[in-house]
Amino acid sequence: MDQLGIDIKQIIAQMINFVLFFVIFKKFIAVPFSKFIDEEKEKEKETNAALARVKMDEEHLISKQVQLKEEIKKELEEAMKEAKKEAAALKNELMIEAKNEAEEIKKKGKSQVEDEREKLNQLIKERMVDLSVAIVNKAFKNYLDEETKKNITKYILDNLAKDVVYEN
Amino acid sequence: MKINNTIKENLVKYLDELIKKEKEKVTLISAYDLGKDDLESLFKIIPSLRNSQLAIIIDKNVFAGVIIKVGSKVIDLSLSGRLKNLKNAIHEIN
Repeated sequence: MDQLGIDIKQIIAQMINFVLFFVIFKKFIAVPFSKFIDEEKEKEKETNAALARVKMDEEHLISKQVQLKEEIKKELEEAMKEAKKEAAALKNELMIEAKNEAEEIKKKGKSQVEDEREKLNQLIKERMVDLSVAIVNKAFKNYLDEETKKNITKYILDNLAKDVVYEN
Repeated sequence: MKINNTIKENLVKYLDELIKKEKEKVTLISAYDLGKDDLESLFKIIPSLRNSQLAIIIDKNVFAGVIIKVGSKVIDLSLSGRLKNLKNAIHEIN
Protein backbone atom coordinates (compact mmCIF):
# COMPACT_ATOMS: atom_id res chain seq x y z
CA MET A 1 0.00 0.00 0.00
CA ASP A 2 2.81 2.39 0.77
CA GLN A 3 4.02 1.70 -2.72
CA LEU A 4 0.74 2.83 -4.20
CA GLY A 5 1.01 6.00 -2.14
CA ILE A 6 -2.11 5.27 -0.09
CA ASP A 7 -1.65 6.10 3.53
CA ILE A 8 -4.26 4.23 5.47
CA LYS A 9 -3.64 6.23 8.61
CA GLN A 10 -4.17 9.41 6.67
CA ILE A 11 -7.29 8.03 5.08
CA ILE A 12 -8.64 7.01 8.45
CA ALA A 13 -7.73 10.37 9.87
CA GLN A 14 -9.40 11.98 6.91
CA MET A 15 -12.45 9.82 7.35
CA ILE A 16 -12.56 10.57 11.07
CA ASN A 17 -12.10 14.23 10.18
CA PHE A 18 -14.91 14.00 7.67
CA VAL A 19 -17.20 12.26 10.14
CA LEU A 20 -16.38 14.79 12.80
CA PHE A 21 -16.96 17.56 10.34
CA PHE A 22 -20.19 15.94 9.26
CA VAL A 23 -21.41 15.54 12.81
CA ILE A 24 -20.40 19.04 13.77
CA PHE A 25 -21.87 20.42 10.55
CA LYS A 26 -25.12 18.58 10.98
CA LYS A 27 -25.49 19.51 14.62
CA PHE A 28 -24.28 23.07 14.66
CA ILE A 29 -24.65 24.35 11.15
CA ALA A 30 -27.11 22.30 9.09
CA VAL A 31 -29.94 22.28 11.62
CA PRO A 32 -29.88 26.02 12.43
CA PHE A 33 -29.27 26.79 8.83
CA SER A 34 -32.21 24.67 7.69
CA LYS A 35 -34.24 26.22 10.50
CA PHE A 36 -33.25 29.59 9.25
CA ILE A 37 -34.13 28.60 5.69
CA ASP A 38 -37.48 27.29 6.91
CA GLU A 39 -38.12 30.46 8.81
CA GLU A 40 -37.25 32.51 5.79
CA LYS A 41 -39.56 30.37 3.71
CA GLU A 42 -42.30 30.86 6.28
CA LYS A 43 -41.72 34.59 6.27
CA GLU A 44 -41.83 34.68 2.53
CA LYS A 45 -45.08 32.73 2.59
CA GLU A 46 -46.58 35.18 5.04
CA THR A 47 -45.35 38.13 3.02
CA ASN A 48 -46.86 36.67 -0.10
CA ALA A 49 -50.10 36.01 1.72
CA ALA A 50 -50.13 39.58 3.04
CA LEU A 51 -49.35 40.88 -0.42
CA ALA A 52 -52.16 38.81 -1.86
CA ARG A 53 -54.52 40.16 0.83
CA VAL A 54 -53.41 43.73 0.13
CA LYS A 55 -53.91 43.20 -3.56
CA MET A 56 -57.38 41.85 -2.93
CA ASP A 57 -58.18 44.79 -0.70
CA GLU A 58 -56.89 47.15 -3.33
CA GLU A 59 -59.06 45.58 -5.98
CA HIS A 60 -62.00 45.69 -3.64
CA LEU A 61 -61.38 49.33 -2.91
CA ILE A 62 -61.02 50.19 -6.58
CA SER A 63 -64.30 48.49 -7.38
CA LYS A 64 -65.92 50.33 -4.46
CA GLN A 65 -64.48 53.60 -5.71
CA VAL A 66 -65.92 53.01 -9.16
CA GLN A 67 -69.27 52.14 -7.61
CA LEU A 68 -69.24 55.29 -5.48
CA LYS A 69 -68.35 57.41 -8.49
CA GLU A 70 -71.31 55.96 -10.33
CA GLU A 71 -73.59 56.64 -7.38
CA ILE A 72 -72.35 60.20 -7.01
CA LYS A 73 -72.85 60.77 -10.72
CA LYS A 74 -76.42 59.47 -10.49
CA GLU A 75 -77.21 61.58 -7.45
CA LEU A 76 -75.72 64.63 -9.09
CA GLU A 77 -77.84 64.10 -12.18
CA GLU A 78 -80.95 63.71 -10.06
CA ALA A 79 -80.10 66.82 -8.04
CA MET A 80 -79.59 68.76 -11.28
CA LYS A 81 -82.97 67.56 -12.54
CA GLU A 82 -84.65 68.62 -9.30
CA ALA A 83 -82.91 71.98 -9.34
CA LYS A 84 -83.98 72.57 -12.95
CA LYS A 85 -87.57 71.69 -12.04
CA GLU A 86 -87.55 74.01 -9.04
CA ALA A 87 -85.97 76.81 -11.07
CA ALA A 88 -88.65 76.46 -13.74
CA ALA A 89 -91.39 76.51 -11.09
CA LEU A 90 -89.82 79.54 -9.39
CA LYS A 91 -89.52 81.30 -12.73
CA ASN A 92 -93.21 80.73 -13.41
CA GLU A 93 -94.13 81.93 -9.95
CA LEU A 94 -92.05 85.08 -10.34
CA MET A 95 -93.54 85.76 -13.76
CA ILE A 96 -97.07 85.47 -12.39
CA GLU A 97 -96.18 87.67 -9.42
CA ALA A 98 -94.62 90.26 -11.70
CA LYS A 99 -97.66 90.23 -13.96
CA ASN A 100 -100.00 90.72 -11.02
CA GLU A 101 -97.89 93.53 -9.66
CA ALA A 102 -97.83 95.19 -13.05
CA GLU A 103 -101.61 94.94 -13.21
CA GLU A 104 -101.91 96.46 -9.75
CA ILE A 105 -99.61 99.31 -10.67
CA LYS A 106 -101.56 99.87 -13.86
CA LYS A 107 -104.84 99.96 -11.93
CA LYS A 108 -103.43 102.34 -9.35
CA GLY A 109 -102.06 104.54 -12.07
CA LYS A 110 -105.41 104.64 -13.83
CA SER A 111 -107.31 105.49 -10.69
CA GLN A 112 -104.73 108.17 -9.84
CA VAL A 113 -105.13 109.65 -13.29
CA GLU A 114 -108.89 109.62 -12.86
CA ASP A 115 -108.61 111.31 -9.47
CA GLU A 116 -106.26 113.94 -10.88
CA ARG A 117 -108.60 114.51 -13.78
CA GLU A 118 -111.53 114.92 -11.40
CA LYS A 119 -109.56 117.35 -9.24
CA LEU A 120 -108.51 119.31 -12.29
CA ASN A 121 -112.09 119.48 -13.54
CA GLN A 122 -113.20 120.71 -10.15
CA LEU A 123 -110.45 123.29 -10.10
CA ILE A 124 -111.32 124.50 -13.58
CA LYS A 125 -114.98 124.82 -12.62
CA GLU A 126 -114.07 126.80 -9.52
CA ARG A 127 -111.75 129.04 -11.49
CA MET A 128 -114.43 129.58 -14.10
CA VAL A 129 -116.91 130.61 -11.43
CA ASP A 130 -114.38 132.94 -9.85
CA LEU A 131 -113.55 134.41 -13.22
CA SER A 132 -117.18 134.89 -14.13
CA VAL A 133 -117.89 136.62 -10.83
CA ALA A 134 -114.82 138.80 -11.29
CA ILE A 135 -116.01 139.76 -14.78
CA VAL A 136 -119.44 140.60 -13.43
CA ASN A 137 -117.86 142.66 -10.65
CA LYS A 138 -115.80 144.53 -13.20
CA ALA A 139 -118.85 145.10 -15.37
CA PHE A 140 -120.81 146.42 -12.40
CA LYS A 141 -117.94 148.74 -11.50
CA ASN A 142 -117.60 150.13 -15.00
CA TYR A 143 -121.13 150.17 -16.35
CA LEU A 144 -123.48 150.82 -13.46
CA ASP A 145 -124.41 154.51 -13.38
CA GLU A 146 -125.91 156.32 -10.41
CA GLU A 147 -129.46 156.06 -11.71
CA THR A 148 -129.21 152.30 -12.21
CA LYS A 149 -127.68 151.91 -8.75
CA LYS A 150 -130.56 153.78 -7.18
CA ASN A 151 -133.10 151.72 -9.11
CA ILE A 152 -131.44 148.48 -8.04
CA THR A 153 -131.29 149.64 -4.42
CA LYS A 154 -134.96 150.55 -4.54
CA TYR A 155 -135.82 147.16 -6.02
CA ILE A 156 -133.80 145.33 -3.37
CA LEU A 157 -135.32 147.29 -0.53
CA ASP A 158 -138.85 146.92 -1.87
CA ASN A 159 -138.79 143.26 -2.85
CA LEU A 160 -135.91 141.24 -1.52
CA ALA A 161 -135.02 142.85 1.82
CA LYS A 162 -137.94 141.38 3.78
CA ASP A 163 -136.83 137.78 3.14
CA VAL A 164 -133.22 138.48 4.06
CA VAL A 165 -134.12 140.38 7.24
CA TYR A 166 -136.53 137.70 8.45
CA GLU A 167 -133.94 135.02 7.73
CA ASN A 168 -131.37 136.87 9.82
CA MET B 1 -104.78 143.29 43.98
CA LYS B 2 -107.89 144.55 45.74
CA ILE B 3 -109.98 147.08 43.88
CA ASN B 4 -112.24 149.54 45.60
CA ASN B 5 -115.89 148.43 45.30
CA THR B 6 -117.07 151.87 44.26
CA ILE B 7 -114.51 152.06 41.49
CA LYS B 8 -115.48 148.57 40.39
CA GLU B 9 -119.15 149.44 40.19
CA ASN B 10 -118.45 152.64 38.29
CA LEU B 11 -116.27 150.76 35.81
CA VAL B 12 -118.95 148.14 35.21
CA LYS B 13 -121.53 150.87 34.68
CA TYR B 14 -119.31 152.72 32.25
CA LEU B 15 -118.58 149.56 30.24
CA ASP B 16 -122.26 148.64 30.14
CA GLU B 17 -123.07 152.07 28.76
CA LEU B 18 -120.37 151.73 26.11
CA ILE B 19 -121.74 148.35 25.05
CA LYS B 20 -125.26 149.76 24.92
CA LYS B 21 -124.10 152.67 22.75
CA GLU B 22 -122.29 150.24 20.46
CA LYS B 23 -125.42 148.12 20.17
CA GLU B 24 -127.54 151.15 19.37
CA LYS B 25 -125.08 152.42 16.77
CA VAL B 26 -126.22 151.62 13.24
CA THR B 27 -123.93 151.85 10.22
CA LEU B 28 -125.30 151.93 6.67
CA ILE B 29 -122.87 151.18 3.87
CA SER B 30 -124.02 151.94 0.35
CA ALA B 31 -122.59 152.87 -3.04
CA TYR B 32 -124.13 156.32 -2.98
CA ASP B 33 -125.57 158.77 -0.49
CA LEU B 34 -128.96 157.34 0.51
CA GLY B 35 -131.92 159.62 0.00
CA LYS B 36 -135.09 160.04 2.09
CA ASP B 37 -137.02 157.53 -0.03
CA ASP B 38 -134.37 154.89 0.44
CA LEU B 39 -134.26 155.49 4.17
CA GLU B 40 -138.04 155.33 4.40
CA SER B 41 -138.07 152.00 2.60
CA LEU B 42 -135.44 150.81 5.06
CA PHE B 43 -137.39 151.99 8.08
CA LYS B 44 -140.48 150.15 6.78
CA ILE B 45 -138.53 146.91 6.84
CA ILE B 46 -136.67 147.54 10.12
CA PRO B 47 -138.74 150.05 12.13
CA SER B 48 -136.26 150.09 15.06
CA LEU B 49 -133.75 151.88 12.84
CA ARG B 50 -135.88 154.98 12.84
CA ASN B 51 -134.86 155.89 16.40
CA SER B 52 -131.26 154.81 16.07
CA GLN B 53 -128.17 156.82 15.45
CA LEU B 54 -127.35 156.27 11.75
CA ALA B 55 -123.91 156.51 10.27
CA ILE B 56 -123.75 156.35 6.46
CA ILE B 57 -120.57 155.17 4.74
CA ILE B 58 -120.10 155.37 0.97
CA ASP B 59 -118.31 152.35 -0.52
CA LYS B 60 -118.19 151.92 -4.29
CA ASN B 61 -117.47 148.19 -3.92
CA VAL B 62 -121.06 147.64 -2.78
CA PHE B 63 -122.32 148.52 -6.33
CA ALA B 64 -125.93 148.84 -5.26
CA GLY B 65 -128.17 148.10 -2.31
CA VAL B 66 -127.12 148.61 1.28
CA ILE B 67 -125.29 146.84 4.11
CA ILE B 68 -126.72 147.41 7.58
CA LYS B 69 -124.50 146.91 10.64
CA VAL B 70 -126.31 146.91 13.98
CA GLY B 71 -123.82 146.30 16.73
CA SER B 72 -122.26 142.99 15.82
CA LYS B 73 -125.08 141.98 13.50
CA VAL B 74 -124.72 142.56 9.75
CA ILE B 75 -127.59 142.54 7.27
CA ASP B 76 -126.28 142.42 3.71
CA LEU B 77 -128.76 143.85 1.19
CA SER B 78 -126.10 144.79 -1.33
CA LEU B 79 -125.55 143.63 -4.90
CA SER B 80 -121.99 142.57 -4.10
CA GLY B 81 -123.34 140.44 -1.25
CA ARG B 82 -125.82 138.80 -3.61
CA LEU B 83 -123.02 138.08 -6.03
CA LYS B 84 -120.96 136.51 -3.24
CA ASN B 85 -123.91 134.32 -2.23
CA LEU B 86 -124.35 133.24 -5.83
CA LYS B 87 -120.68 132.34 -6.07
CA ASN B 88 -120.82 130.32 -2.86
CA ALA B 89 -124.00 128.58 -3.98
CA ILE B 90 -122.38 127.56 -7.28
CA HIS B 91 -119.29 126.29 -5.41
CA GLU B 92 -121.50 124.23 -3.12
CA ILE B 93 -123.31 122.72 -6.08
CA ASN B 94 -119.98 121.75 -7.64
